Amino acid sequence: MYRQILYVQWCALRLPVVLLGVLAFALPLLTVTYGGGLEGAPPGQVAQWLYAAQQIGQLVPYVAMLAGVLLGIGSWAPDHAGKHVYALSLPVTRARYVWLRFAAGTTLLLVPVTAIGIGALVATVSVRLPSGVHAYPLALTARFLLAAFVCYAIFFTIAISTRRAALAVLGGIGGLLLADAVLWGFGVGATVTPTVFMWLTNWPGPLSILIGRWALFDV
Amino acid sequence: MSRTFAVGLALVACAGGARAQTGRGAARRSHALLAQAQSLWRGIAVRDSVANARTAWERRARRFDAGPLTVLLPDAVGTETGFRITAGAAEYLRDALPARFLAVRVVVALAATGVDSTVRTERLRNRARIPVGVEPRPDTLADGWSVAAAVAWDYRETLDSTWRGWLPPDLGLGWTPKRDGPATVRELMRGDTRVGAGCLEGKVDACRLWLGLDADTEPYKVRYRPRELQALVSGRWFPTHQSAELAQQCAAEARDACLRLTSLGYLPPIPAGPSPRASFVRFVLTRSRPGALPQALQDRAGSVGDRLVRATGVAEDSLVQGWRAWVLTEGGMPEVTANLRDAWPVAVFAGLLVLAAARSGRWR
Amino acid sequence: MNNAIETHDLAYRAGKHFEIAGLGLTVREGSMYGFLGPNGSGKTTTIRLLLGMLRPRRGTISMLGRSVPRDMPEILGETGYVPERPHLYPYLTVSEATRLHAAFYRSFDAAYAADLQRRFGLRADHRISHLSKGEVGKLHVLLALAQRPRLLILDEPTDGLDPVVRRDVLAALVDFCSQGTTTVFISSHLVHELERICDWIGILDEGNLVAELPMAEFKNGIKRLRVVRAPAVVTGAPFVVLSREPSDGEQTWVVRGWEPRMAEWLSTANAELREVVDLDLEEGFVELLRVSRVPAA
Repeated sequence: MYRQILYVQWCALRLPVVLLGVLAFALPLLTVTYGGGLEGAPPGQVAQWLYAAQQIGQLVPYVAMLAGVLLGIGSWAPDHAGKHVYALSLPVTRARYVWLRFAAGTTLLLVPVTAIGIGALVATVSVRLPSGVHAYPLALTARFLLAAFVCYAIFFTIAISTRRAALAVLGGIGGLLLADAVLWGFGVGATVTPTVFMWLTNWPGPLSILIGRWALFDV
Repeated sequence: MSRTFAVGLALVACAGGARAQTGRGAARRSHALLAQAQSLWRGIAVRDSVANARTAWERRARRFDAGPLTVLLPDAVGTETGFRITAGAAEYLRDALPARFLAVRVVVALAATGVDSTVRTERLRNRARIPVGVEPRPDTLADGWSVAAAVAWDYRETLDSTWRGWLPPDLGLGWTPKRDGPATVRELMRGDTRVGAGCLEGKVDACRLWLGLDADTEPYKVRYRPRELQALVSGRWFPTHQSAELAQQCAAEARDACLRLTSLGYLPPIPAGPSPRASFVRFVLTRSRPGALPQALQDRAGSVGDRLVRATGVAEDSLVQGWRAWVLTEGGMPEVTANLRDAWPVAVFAGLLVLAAARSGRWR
Repeated sequence: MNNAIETHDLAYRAGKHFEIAGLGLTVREGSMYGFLGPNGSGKTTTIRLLLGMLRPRRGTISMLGRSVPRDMPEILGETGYVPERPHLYPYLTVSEATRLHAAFYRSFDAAYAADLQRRFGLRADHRISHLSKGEVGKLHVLLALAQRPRLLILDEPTDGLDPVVRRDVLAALVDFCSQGTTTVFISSHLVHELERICDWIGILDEGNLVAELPMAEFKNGIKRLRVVRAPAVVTGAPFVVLSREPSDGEQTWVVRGWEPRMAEWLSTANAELREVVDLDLEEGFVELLRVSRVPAA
């Protein structure tokens, strides 16, 4: 069952998965291309290169988010198109079907993850790093996996949720903005939305993985 | 409010007096009003004097001790807060300053009153006073640091010119890895000088020059390259006509002008800013035996590096390498990590989401 | 005899204008049950209720001796379903869709699927999105039959298909049913189609089950009578008068439950029976619907 669902999902999403894989593979190499020929480089080039590595590294969580969003929504796109009739006529419980789809999507997520891992390893072995500068290919790959996975889980759930649940989420966001507007209207200094955002993005918030350091080469 | 009312009442009485010329009854009325205003005014004056007396009482100096450190704070600070401020300051200064220096100083809050009598009665008469700005309602942490910084500043003034030229104003005692580490690393990574870039790349000699640990007989020649001096000049403002003119010439690649400008003392002789130097002080403090830093600070022979080597008993190369590793990894910016701590919130959240997806929504 | 499908007091509402109220279906095991009804009568909704895709407001559903929705995976494991509209993933090829389907059914007969594929003229490497409507319909039937189900639910399986494809599909269906004791529940508004293959019939109109009876009874029991001197009021008749219309001094009656011996009753009522005409299924269906709608009108 899992293999068949994986195959079906692969057929539906192969183009975005391949493109994401190429993008993920290219990002670490971009860092090296920018900073090639470090030996005998003029002073300050290492620092510039590290700065560039950090700038390029900041793109990595965005690619991870993109992968999560595309695969999360894409996992259900074929079923949405058929109004879930085929899926619901299959002799499995809803929970099992959801897990099958989730597992298949997670497996596809490993394509860009593996790509960034290989890209990071290739980039790492292709440069001689000055002392004090370290490469973090495994940590970067693991961070990419975690970030992509949490985004994937969020959008996978949103994509399968009922209209009522989607409205509840939108209503919650609207409620936060409204609360801020009311607080502002009454001249209260406190705000709700930034607090919620902080809660989400500060450890142990679920999105804390998206914040932090993402450079392949760092001190 | 009542003061305004009394003034208003007096004005009404005066106006009434002016009109009183027209009749005896009106004059009586204005006299009564004036008397009422005067009475009110006296009441206000009494109340103000009581309040002032209370404020003076609240602001009278009170002694707090933590080890060799003595601080006079306004009484309104309260016992517990006063002790906290003093203990916090002592903690900052611990192992950094010789106890005998603290034993001859007393820190006095500017807001405190009756300091002279307190000094007399508390037998602090012979101690030199270090003024510090602490409000009657203080912030414990910030004011603890204010006291420590004032003491450090005062102590720095007692050191020789080598130390005074090298040490940050607060001796670097306030530097913490978490708060100040990123700024230090950013400065190191800026790499705008040969020695800075070399230090980042792990060259010990470059680090020594960048931090200004070497004998600074010709600091600008040894630590900077001409082009770097020009770059340094181009981004600065020079207060005098002469220095501004020299700066223009220096920026236009006149090497002599650059050297003359350095002799005027307008350019920093040490490429590393106060933050990296403060981190070095903190490193020495945390990694060497107690008393090593005070000993080095009392040393008046040789370069900063030589003095630290003598006091800590650690080779300069080891000291520099150790500092660099500490700043870049442990003490600097957080590393690129992905560990269990990062993973579990993701796993828990994703699991909850998929459980919700599997249970809710469509029927079945 | 056991029932393959049984519903009691099934109620469902969709929007303000459509409601299934108190539906009680009984489909015997091994039968071919034709589920007739005009467009919009609630046939597809009923089937989706049976398959657990919709939640009823009240009532119970039992399929193959099991309860819906509690035992749905087990029920669906033995139920073949051909939906009204094709819902297969369009980017798959015929063979890929077959493999996907087979993965979910233990009883899937790959050899039979290959045989049907050949008979239907479907090419294995053709993408579903490139198939014609008739070919997609055939593929759906292929998948449903190849899983060798105990119960086959077909929702308008031949709707929109050309006569040749329709004949192929129905032939495959009859052929399959002749091999075993599969119960077939087939919905359609094409009356003639069901007349040929079904042995039971249920008629649904506006969410109400108008009639549920054996096909033979339905076909033979509904007649059109030409009656002269027809009584003004029909009381105590052994048959049910569904409608009566005057024409040229006589009346045309449509009756249900007619038997030849009942002509005597007309004689005793001083009426004369001129002609008894057999109605085909479609005429009977239309008359039944007309009668069922009278009270509402």
